[in-house]
Amino acid sequence: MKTIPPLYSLVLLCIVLVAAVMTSLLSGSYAVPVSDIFSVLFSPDDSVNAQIIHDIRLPRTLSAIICGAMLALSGVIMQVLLRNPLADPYILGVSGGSAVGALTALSLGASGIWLTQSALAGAIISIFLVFGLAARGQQWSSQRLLLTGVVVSAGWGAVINVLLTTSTASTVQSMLFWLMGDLSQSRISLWHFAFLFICLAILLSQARALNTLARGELLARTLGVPVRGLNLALFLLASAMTATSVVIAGSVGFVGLIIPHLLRLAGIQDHRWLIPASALLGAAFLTLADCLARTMLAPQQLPVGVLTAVIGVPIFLFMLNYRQGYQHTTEGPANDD
Amino acid sequence: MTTSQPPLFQTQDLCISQQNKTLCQQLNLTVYPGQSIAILGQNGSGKSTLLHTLQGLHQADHGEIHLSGQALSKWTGRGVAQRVGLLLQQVKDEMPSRVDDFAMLGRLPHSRFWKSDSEQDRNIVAKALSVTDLSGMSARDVESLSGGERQRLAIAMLLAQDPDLYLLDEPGNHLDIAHQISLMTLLHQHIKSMAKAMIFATHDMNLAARFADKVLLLNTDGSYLFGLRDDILSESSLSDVYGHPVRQAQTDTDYPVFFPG
Repeated sequence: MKTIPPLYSLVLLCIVLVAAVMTSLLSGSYAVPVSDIFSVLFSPDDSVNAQIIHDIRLPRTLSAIICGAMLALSGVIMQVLLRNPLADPYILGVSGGSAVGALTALSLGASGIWLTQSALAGAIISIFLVFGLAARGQQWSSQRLLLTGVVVSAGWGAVINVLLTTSTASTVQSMLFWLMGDLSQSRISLWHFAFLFICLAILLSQARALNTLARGELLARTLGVPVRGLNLALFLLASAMTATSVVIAGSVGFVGLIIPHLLRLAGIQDHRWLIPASALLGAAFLTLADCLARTMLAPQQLPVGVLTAVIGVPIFLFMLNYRQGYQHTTEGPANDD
Repeated sequence: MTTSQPPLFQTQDLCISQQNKTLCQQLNLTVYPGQSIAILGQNGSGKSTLLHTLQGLHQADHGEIHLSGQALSKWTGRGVAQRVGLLLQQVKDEMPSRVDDFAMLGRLPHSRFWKSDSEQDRNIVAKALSVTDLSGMSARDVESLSGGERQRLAIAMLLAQDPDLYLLDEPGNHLDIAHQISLMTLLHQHIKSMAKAMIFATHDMNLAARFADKVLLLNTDGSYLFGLRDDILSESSLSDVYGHPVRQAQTDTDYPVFFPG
């Protein structure tokens, strides 16, 4: 397979993201002309167009960008940290803890700030629970971390089921939306963007170290990478990004799993390129998925988490098979010398 | 012997254990630039653990390790990695990577995160891939390589790392005899001409006999024999260390040749 030079892919992804944002701002039941979007976007007035863009579509689009980028980055980190291609941002139980927090709040009739605060509290409890248990032993190994995370996740899953089965029908509806991931109530602030850029900067500074860590801890250590500290930093960073995203949009599935893989399959394996590319593609992907979520069955809205899977699964399977076909031509028993 | 130079590497009374099993007792090793040292011993005698300890990956129970006159623990991880390189016995490939990207990892200790790979880095990597016969495979995925090709790639990465002390854990693993001899010859010439040093652990007595100036025989009880190759390698010492009779062949080579009896 011919690979595109990484710099071009980044430019391409930037264009894709801009296109996704434009699509997102344009789509909806009320038609806002393209010509108006720019004027309204940068100099808001009292018109209906301005209200629709600024109050409804823009916050949603920006939330999708933040969540998509953070989930994709978190996915990249988790896959390296656990050296497991199946790892995703939720594998260590952050979303489970957060969901238990959010669902408890919902079952108590809370909403708005209480909902987000309890989701955040749940995520933080889960992070420290997993970290505390995994780091207790002499050796903090990715195997131990993975097992601890998966088991804690399963525990949260059980609690979620209890909450779902004991709640009233109307609460269950909003619980399900939360669990599947939904951007309709999402609001973000400048802080979220600041946090995203800080994470990006930290990750880019560690990109080479991530390249070695992806090849194994021992190898990374022979090359002078402070693996213990890096592991801890990566775990906390990925958890914080996942928690942020989950608090904004619920547990939107699949973005963190497939975006890094899609890019790896497309030939971007060096983390110096994979990290910015994942953030861009994750943001664009979730933005487009959200467009579909709110327009496909309009006026009814679908949870965006359903759309990410519906779009993501076929694309991913196609890429995987395409790539394997390529590998068969170069790989063969003849190589075994 | 270049004993007039200060030693590159030194251990004093080094004691190593792994899971309560003593592997090395009071080990005193001094490595001068240009020296090649072989470690021989049975399975589980601590060859790998010793190499890991010398790189700082494993904590010694007791004793000191000095690198260029300064305690190993005083060096930063990066500083050690610039000077000491370790060829690991097995590296699992769980994530995809291009062959040239893999070799480029060796440049990590010499790079800064805000700088991209320099022309010099790329040249060093290209040369390392070329001397390990991997030039034609630089765009391939690591997963598609055979065992021997992977071993050559690991050596290429180490050459790109360009350390002063090469620690090689089973360098001949998976290699056909042509590559075994050519790569050992390459490393041997490299350390001689560039005043570097190497310590290699191997199960191949003849690789040790051919490429080592000094030999360290590790017994399973933690005792050891260390000295010049011709003083150490003999039918009786090898038979003792392996617990199996070893015979010396009559050859016209300038190094002894042994075979299991």
